[in-house]
Amino acid sequence: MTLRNLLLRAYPRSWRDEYGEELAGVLAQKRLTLGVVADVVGNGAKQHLYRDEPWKICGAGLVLWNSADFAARYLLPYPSFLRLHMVGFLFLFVAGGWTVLRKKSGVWRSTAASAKAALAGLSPEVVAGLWSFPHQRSTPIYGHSPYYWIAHTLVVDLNLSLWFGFAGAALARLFLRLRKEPREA
Amino acid sequence: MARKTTSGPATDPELLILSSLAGGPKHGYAMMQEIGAFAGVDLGPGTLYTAITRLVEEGWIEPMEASGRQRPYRLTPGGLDYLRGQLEKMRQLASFGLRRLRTV
Repeated sequence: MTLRNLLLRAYPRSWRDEYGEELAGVLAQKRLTLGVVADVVGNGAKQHLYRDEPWKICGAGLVLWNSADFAARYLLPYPSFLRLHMVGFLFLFVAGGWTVLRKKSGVWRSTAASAKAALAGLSPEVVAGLWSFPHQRSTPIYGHSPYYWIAHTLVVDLNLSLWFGFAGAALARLFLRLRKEPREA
Repeated sequence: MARKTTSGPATDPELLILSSLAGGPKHGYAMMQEIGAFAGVDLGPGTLYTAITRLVEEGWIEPMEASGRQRPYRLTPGGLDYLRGQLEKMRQLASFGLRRLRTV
């Protein structure tokens, strides 16, 4: 795969189906400088924001966040990074709210969408637990047993995630309702 | 992400594309070339196609039949009206600014 083909992968599939061939044609005639690469990658990210489902974007963000969190806690002293772990739940708050605002869907449907983001986003933590299973060693995070770690992720974290998604969706719904209602004189 | 040699509304990618297409249908690379020549703006390929996507979605330009990898675009009547309106606003702003400058 050439760099030009790789650059096209920065765009969502639906966009590539429509414009990919043309952009490939233009890129074939352009010298690939750092500026051109940055321009294509940046605009590809923009198209993802416009076209992808909010839960996919937030889920991907949460995967990255949790992976970075996991790596940092592995390398850094645990207490210094603990507070930032909670920031991950904001991705789910945003997923719930954004789904309501973009698709005008109801609170439950949007909460379900944020749950999908949570399932994707929590996968690094489940992998961390599974990784430590074979030797029954403690997970590098918190020092708990793998059983505890996986149970904690799937019960506590997922439960909290649903509440954050619900809160985001409910607030966005309230915002839409307040904006729609005519103001009393 | 347009690398602009100047700043202001005359470097807006969408207006540049519409102005280029006002001269007749063109494909992406030809638009980039012409815009570089008449406005001195080196539009990046990503910026060009983000603007083209939006213009198509707004219904201001439309694709024609593709020839190979290149697909030309043309202005729609709505796009022509939009371009005329925007250029008229820019003309009013320019003449107001120039009048003010004469009194300085």
